[in-house]
Amino acid sequence: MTSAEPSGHNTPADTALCAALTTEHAVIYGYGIVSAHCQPEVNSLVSFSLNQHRQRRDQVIAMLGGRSVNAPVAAAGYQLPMPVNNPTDANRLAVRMEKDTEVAWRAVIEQAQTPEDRKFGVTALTQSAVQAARWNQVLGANPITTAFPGGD
Amino acid sequence: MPRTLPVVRSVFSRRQVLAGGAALAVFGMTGSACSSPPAPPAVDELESQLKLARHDSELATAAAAAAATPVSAALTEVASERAQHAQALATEIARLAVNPTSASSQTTSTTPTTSAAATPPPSPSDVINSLRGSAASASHLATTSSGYRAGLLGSIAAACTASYSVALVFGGSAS
Repeated sequence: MTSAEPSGHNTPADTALCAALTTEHAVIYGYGIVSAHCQPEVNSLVSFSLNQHRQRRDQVIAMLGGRSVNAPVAAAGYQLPMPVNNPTDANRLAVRMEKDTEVAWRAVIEQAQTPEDRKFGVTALTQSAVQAARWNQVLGANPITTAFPGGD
Repeated sequence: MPRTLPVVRSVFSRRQVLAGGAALAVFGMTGSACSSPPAPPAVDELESQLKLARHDSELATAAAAAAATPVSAALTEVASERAQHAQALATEIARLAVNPTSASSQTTSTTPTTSAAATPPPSPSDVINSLRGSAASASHLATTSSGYRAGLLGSIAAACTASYSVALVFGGSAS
């Protein structure tokens, strides 16, 4: 489908990292949609979340570059998992994206072969769990946290 | 172990973006999460995580009993999540006991003992402090573990952090 698939001979750890980067690209795109529909009160939360994902994206691109692995690039466009027409939809999309980010980074942790990669993955998983809780709070969900971010 | 799928799927036409629709799988599995475990951490390390989880769960339960409504509900959720962590860790320990491939580990995970005195009921702050220590401990052990176990510990660290930094923060600003 996309031209963003990692090339053939990557290790499982690299493949998981590429998959997480692909997710980060999509989430960064998605936060643009969130930003377009959210209420002004959550502007700072949008900005914080977006910056966090952008920084992580850049770090992962650098990590992959250091291993001579082709980093997947952002797609021309993305199909949203749900219609987003109002602030509530926007909040839901944000929660959903942080949850998907959690899944991608837990996979990285499980496939990683070095403490450095695991540490990076744990940080990313943790940050997304925190952001998911914040968005759930905005949404008025209860509870706002889960026992096993990223799966289980 | 099946994985849920990424939110947004890349498409060729930017126009399709506005059409909405269901997201499907983009990329494949990154491999089984339950494949052969290389060098599991010592059972001792998981036992210490289990103790932390049980301790947090009991602490949060006691604090919930003494707290008012919204705080109490949040503490009860923490108690439940930490009990689920204890269950998952106990399962993992049992699996190691059945299949003790390796018990070598040089890492000494620090076990913060932030136990509050039993006499006055613990406050939400006590629970927050305890969770902070537990998150750090699980996070540290995750980096020296591997495979499913590393993922589980990372997930536990993430859950503890979300609890102490968001769910249990009332009134003041969430840092």
